[in-house]
Amino acid sequence: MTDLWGRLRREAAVRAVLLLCALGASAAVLLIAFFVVAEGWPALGALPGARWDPEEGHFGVQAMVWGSLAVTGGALLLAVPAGVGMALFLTEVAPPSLALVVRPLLQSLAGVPSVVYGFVGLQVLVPAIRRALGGPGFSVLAGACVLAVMILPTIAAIAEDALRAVPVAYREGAVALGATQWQVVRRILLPAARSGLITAVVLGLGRALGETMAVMMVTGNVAAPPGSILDPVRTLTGNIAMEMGYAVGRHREALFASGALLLAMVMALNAAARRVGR
Amino acid sequence: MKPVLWALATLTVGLLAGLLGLLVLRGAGDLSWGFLLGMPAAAGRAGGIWPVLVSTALLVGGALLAVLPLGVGTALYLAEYAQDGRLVRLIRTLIEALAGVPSILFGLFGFSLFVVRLGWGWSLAAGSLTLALMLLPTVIRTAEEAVLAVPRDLREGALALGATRWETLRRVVIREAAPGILTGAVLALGRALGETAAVLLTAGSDLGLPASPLDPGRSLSVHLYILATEGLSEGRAYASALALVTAVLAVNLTANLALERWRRP
Amino acid sequence: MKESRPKLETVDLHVHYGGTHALKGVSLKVPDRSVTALIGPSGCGKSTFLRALNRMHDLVPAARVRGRILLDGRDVRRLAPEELRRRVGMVFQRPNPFPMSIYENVAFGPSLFGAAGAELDALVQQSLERAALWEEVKGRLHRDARGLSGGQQQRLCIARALAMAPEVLLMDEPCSALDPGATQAVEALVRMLRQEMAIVIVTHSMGQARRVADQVAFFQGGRLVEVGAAAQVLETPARPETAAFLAAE
Repeated sequence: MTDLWGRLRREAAVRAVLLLCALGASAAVLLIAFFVVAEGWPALGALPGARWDPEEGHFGVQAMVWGSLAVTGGALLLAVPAGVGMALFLTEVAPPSLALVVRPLLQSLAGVPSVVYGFVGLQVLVPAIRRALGGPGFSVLAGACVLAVMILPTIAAIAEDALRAVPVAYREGAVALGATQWQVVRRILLPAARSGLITAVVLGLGRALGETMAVMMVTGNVAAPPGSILDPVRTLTGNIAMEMGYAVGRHREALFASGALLLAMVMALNAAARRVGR
Repeated sequence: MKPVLWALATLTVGLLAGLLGLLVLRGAGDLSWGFLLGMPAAAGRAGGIWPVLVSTALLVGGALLAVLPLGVGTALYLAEYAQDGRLVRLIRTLIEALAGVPSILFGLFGFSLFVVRLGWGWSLAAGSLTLALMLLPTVIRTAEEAVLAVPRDLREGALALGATRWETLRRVVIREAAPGILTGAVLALGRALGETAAVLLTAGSDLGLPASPLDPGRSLSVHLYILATEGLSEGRAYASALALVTAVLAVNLTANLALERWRRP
Repeated sequence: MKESRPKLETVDLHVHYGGTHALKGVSLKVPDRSVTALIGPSGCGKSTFLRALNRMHDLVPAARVRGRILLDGRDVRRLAPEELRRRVGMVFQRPNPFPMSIYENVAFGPSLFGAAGAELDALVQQSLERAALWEEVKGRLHRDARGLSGGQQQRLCIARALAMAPEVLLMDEPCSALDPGATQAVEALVRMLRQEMAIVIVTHSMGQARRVADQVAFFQGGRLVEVGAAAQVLETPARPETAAFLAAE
């Protein structure tokens, strides 16, 4: 009987340990949010300002918010049609054997580290933009292009799932009425997959906002709102990464505060994506 | 419609091919055993990247050591013990939220807690623990999937013999789920290799050969970043990039192939 | 039956699905302005045959179709599939209204070919009247079609097909998902429509075949075993297989 008691006690102990693991894992995000907000709390009020000039005590992040939005918006403009297009390619056009090869290739684009994209962008894209379109090359355009390639796999994967979820019966009904393939896509599939497609866009947006290295390496270092897509900018994330190494006091607090702002934006987007997907 | 989509697909695949081709073209020249095993000179302009490789290995190894127990434990709880209820839903929501946190914020957190408040300074330990938090959602997701995939009759056979839940888990389920769990760990490894921002803020960028977990260290991705932005050596930057991408793609390919095989035997 | 040229005809039709020989050398004539019922055990090839008639198998890469299908004496492979499907409409086993309003469902087909405005409105009303659904939905044309009952949805799908002014209507067990009242309504519709077009209907119910069909074709194991006037095939079948099947039903 003692053996049985021992086993039952061990069972209870294990269960408790595993529960602790789960609670610990779920506490992580709360901990992170708490730290970031707590460290940045004193400087939160300084964020809405228009100038970012740590030496002079100005910590307004407007320029960086514009920078983030410009680069992210540009990336979506490029990546959404391309991502939906790739999804359509995989569901409508590609023979299944080809799709089996292309899909993992597309997803491996997502596996390439951010810093490598930044590096190649720095070496190839920035000089190319400078030569072809003028300006310093370090620009919103460069950031948007690099970012677009990075979020393309995410958008394509979610879009493909959304398209495949459309009931076959709708397609059959449309075909039986004499619709061409393109008409089926445009008037039945895309509208029916709409909520999934929106989710793809919103999630892509969230990832783009949170991206740091690649964008930082190709957008230059100018803390001012961009006037055109050829202007250099600084994003919220880049700002933090660049200055954290040597920031002290109020400066450091302001960086944390901008981190809190970023966290709030991304969390809101993810919550919106979940709601739309319902 | 068809020609447009074909063109798009060709462009996209071409992009990947072009990227890899460029790295190979410009980086293979500098990529040699001497480069990989040699010590750096002139702040990385010349010489090799041995300390960087060591730091990377310690960093990633430490991260896996930290994340696996916590992640697999959580997965086991969710898959085997948890009942559907408010608490479990909350746990899942929080873990999903963790997956959405931008990497730079992990860096901020790691910096604030490990580097500053705990006084470790820039260190491999700080980097590993921060990375571990980033990898947590991935490990939990794949481990849970692996455990849930174990057929019910295996469990029921053990339970019917009078085994407790934990005994069933330990002696039957985990053994079955191990390949899937390991694959998840490998996937996490791939992600850890590619992470830069958070590592930069917690492990620092010191080029020296680390002797203890509290020493700072430079990971391969951080090294590439510094070489690139400070314009120190184009050849060596390409070589570092090539090494990094090769490692990440090889790891991801292995993991994904294994996952495919294991999901659809 | 009249000896004029059949509206729709297959000559030695074979269909292969991957490795399976689903339809073996079926030659069948479908006269204009009549109802042909296809009967037979499950998996005997009746639906496969029906779907070959409007080239639905084109959607399935693993399917291969051999033999000839003639519409008004012309091989259908000479036609663009979209054109064929305009002239040969189909109603499916389970009602499949699009996730749109009632109006948009019926208008969908004609709008593919450019119909719009008042002309489209008239066409929608006309089709819904022919499907005996107009009175029930005229007040809520812009509400989601999925809010209709099963029987109404199926009549909507019929209206949707009719809006294309088809010359042939293919119906794949259109009543199997419907209750008896709705079934009656659809059968009445079929009897009315046969005055204007050729109808081919797959059915599991001998009673339904008796009630609506002019001609009955019995399929088994992918082959056309027997075809003839409805009364003759159903009461006094010429082939023993047909008799055995009918006895078991």
